[in-house]
Amino acid sequence: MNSAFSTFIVRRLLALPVILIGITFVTFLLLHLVPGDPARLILGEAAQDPQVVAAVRHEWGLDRPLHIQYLQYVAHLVRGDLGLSIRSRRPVSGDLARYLPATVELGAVSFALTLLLGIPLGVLSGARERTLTDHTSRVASLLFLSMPSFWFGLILIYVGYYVLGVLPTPTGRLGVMDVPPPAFTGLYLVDSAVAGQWGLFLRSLWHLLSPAFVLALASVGLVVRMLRASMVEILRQDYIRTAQAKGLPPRAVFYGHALRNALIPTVTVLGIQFASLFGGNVLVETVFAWPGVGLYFVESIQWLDYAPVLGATALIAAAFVTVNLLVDVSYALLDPRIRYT
Amino acid sequence: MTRLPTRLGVLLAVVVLAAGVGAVNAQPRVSNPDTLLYGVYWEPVNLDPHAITDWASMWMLDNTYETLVRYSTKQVQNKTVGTADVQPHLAEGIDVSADGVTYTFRLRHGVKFHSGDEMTADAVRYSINRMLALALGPSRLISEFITPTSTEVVDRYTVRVKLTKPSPLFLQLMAGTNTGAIVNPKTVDAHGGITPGKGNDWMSRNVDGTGPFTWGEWRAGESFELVANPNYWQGAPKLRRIAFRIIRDFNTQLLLLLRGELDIVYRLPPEMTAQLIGNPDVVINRENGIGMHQIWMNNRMSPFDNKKVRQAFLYALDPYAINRAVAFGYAETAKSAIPSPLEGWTGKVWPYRVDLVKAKSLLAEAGYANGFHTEIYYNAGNSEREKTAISAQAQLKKAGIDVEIRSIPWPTFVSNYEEGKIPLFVLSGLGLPIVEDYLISNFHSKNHGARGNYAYYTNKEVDALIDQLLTAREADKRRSIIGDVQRLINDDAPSAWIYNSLLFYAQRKWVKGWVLYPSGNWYFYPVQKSL
Repeated sequence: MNSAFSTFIVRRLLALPVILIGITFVTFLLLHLVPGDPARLILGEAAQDPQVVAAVRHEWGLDRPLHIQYLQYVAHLVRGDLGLSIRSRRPVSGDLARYLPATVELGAVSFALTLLLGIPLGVLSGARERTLTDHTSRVASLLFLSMPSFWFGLILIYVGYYVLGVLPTPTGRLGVMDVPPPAFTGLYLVDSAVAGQWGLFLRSLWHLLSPAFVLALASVGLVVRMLRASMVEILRQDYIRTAQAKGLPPRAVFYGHALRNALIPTVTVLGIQFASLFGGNVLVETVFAWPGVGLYFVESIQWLDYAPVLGATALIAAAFVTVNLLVDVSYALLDPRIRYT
Repeated sequence: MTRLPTRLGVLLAVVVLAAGVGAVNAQPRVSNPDTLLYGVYWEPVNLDPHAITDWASMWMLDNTYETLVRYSTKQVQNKTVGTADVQPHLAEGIDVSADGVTYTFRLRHGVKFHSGDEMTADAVRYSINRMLALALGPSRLISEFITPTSTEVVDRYTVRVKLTKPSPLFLQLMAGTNTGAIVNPKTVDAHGGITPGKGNDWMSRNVDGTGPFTWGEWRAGESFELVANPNYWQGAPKLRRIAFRIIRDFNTQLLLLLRGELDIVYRLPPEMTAQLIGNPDVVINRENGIGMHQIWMNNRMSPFDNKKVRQAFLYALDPYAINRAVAFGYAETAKSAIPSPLEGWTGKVWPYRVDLVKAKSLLAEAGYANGFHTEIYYNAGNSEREKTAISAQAQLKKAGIDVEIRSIPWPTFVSNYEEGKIPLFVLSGLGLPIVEDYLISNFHSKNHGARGNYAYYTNKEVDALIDQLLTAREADKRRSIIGDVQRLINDDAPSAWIYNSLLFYAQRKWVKGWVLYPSGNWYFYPVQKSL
């Protein structure tokens, strides 16, 4: 880690707030381009009285000019205040603190499954080009990529839960009668472990596996195809032949020379996949009744509930920026030729 | 790892097999007997009875707060059903003065709020005035005949309300949880008191009522619950808790119901009940609600500003076929402009039936002999409305009306129909079981647009009749006015009514005592689970 490298990281970190403000600005504008009035939506039938609508608009500052509304939002944002939902009067930060752990937990397990399934399959496929193993894994990855995840989720629930009764009840993070562990991080795996409730830990892991698997499949398909292509290409390079010729053991050639180089493009893909997990997946969340950020986001848009939409957008953007930074950093670790200036 | 595709093949094979064999999961005993597991796709947004505007919140508060009067039930063919008539509840008795202006409520003694304070006349006056002061959702109807000085405490257990003018709506409104809920003055004052025109953050997330249930744990996006109040004045409820599980996918809800892990599912799409036919453990509970599933026409926009075009539209539509296609035949097909549970409803002044010849000749008279092109809108994602639009499109085509279907996001949809910017749209709702309220908001010309008359319908004769009804107290006179109004509106055809809004629940047979009210209220107190 040289000083140019640390400067690079600092510069990227400094850019983060600017990016976030930019993102919220664009989102704010887009939200206000949608015809519709949140006050009226929220009042529903009661919106029949213009005075009531005006009172609600005033209470939430919707009657002020747009630029003032935005500046007020930013003024609160920089102080870490994400505002209140007009619909529920709940603080957005509290809502996100509830939905985010569910999304993070699902994302993390799903990402682990992507790595565990995708990398070995991709390497195997690339190393044994045009064998039965290769063909099978290529067809399988194509299938994973093209199959709609919610459809696979539905099949999994129908067969695994309903018919065979081996998969857990698709009621989100725990079964219908389970009581969640004492809230600490909001991550049920961590909280149940901290509380020493190992039965709950296992049930929570058990509930995580199906949606995580469904969510991971498309990424697995992508990773397999990318890794296979890189492996095939790299195994034909001169430096691989040189390494083999100078008598390096096949293992060293394979892992030290081939795989390490083949991983670089895959890491980019993995980074994007990882970051996108934080945005939640509305369809998978719907099918598995998973209380994630995705549904919260979509529902807030439906009600033109500005603060939750802006808050969730900022959060997802922050996740993307951070993960991109991590990806860039990992390039340097994988390939010493990559320098940051 | 490479065996995955094979495994998938096995899974698919099992699906096919399972479909043939059918799932045999008959459970001989009641599971979780003291907990009612309720599958829903929504969650409440606000727990302040005087600020709520959505049904989900209302359904929760129906069980935590109580009202002076409440809708009664009656027996129909061995089944208990709710009515639109009120009976005393927190009040023991009600005296109404001869001029219909003064109501004296004699309160029950010893009714306690969850916090332990007694419910007295002060709480009643405080509650009514709080609703007026907040001036949010529910107050609009009641402020027409009540002011902050109308309510008077006579003694600890007697309240007198003097209306500014006689109104048949008053008692009905006092039965609604959002208009009539009695809150605890001490609790409200301890948490910020009353700020005119503004909701209260504490009240929107906490509950202190007199109802049979208290508010339990609320895990946003996941679950919420009602917990039995052991000190309830009529005795503790039979159920220890009502656990609501938020499951947005109806397939998932259905499977849970079939396996007995849910007891009731709200609003399963009717076509899904095909899978329930012949299942001995699950029953369908259906009732008519106060609302119409309808295709609204914009009466100010050409060509629907022409009465003949609107009538032709109704002659071209086959609401029975739409009912079968969309509601699986569970709904009651429209035979008048107003929902059938309302007072004075009649199916005898309904001129329409499918008649393409008549439709075409009406169109020709209106100058559209070759038909016309128009657009029908619905909010994206609403499958009931989508299917209605599709069925209607095919039927109208035969009469030469070429309809293009447009789905738009909810906020855009609402502002478009409220502001009268779209010619046709599919919309249905649930309202109060008060005929005056229904007629005023849907058909009175003073309520064009956002106030409820989304068709922008105007008929001065109808306006005058509705105004007359507001002060009419004699049953015969009321019936004749309501009949005349229906005849006029049906003939004007401001909207194409398809079927009566449907209250629709699929439930395990072991759920007993779940009564459906036309008002849409949910009361869990009499519910229990037994075989």
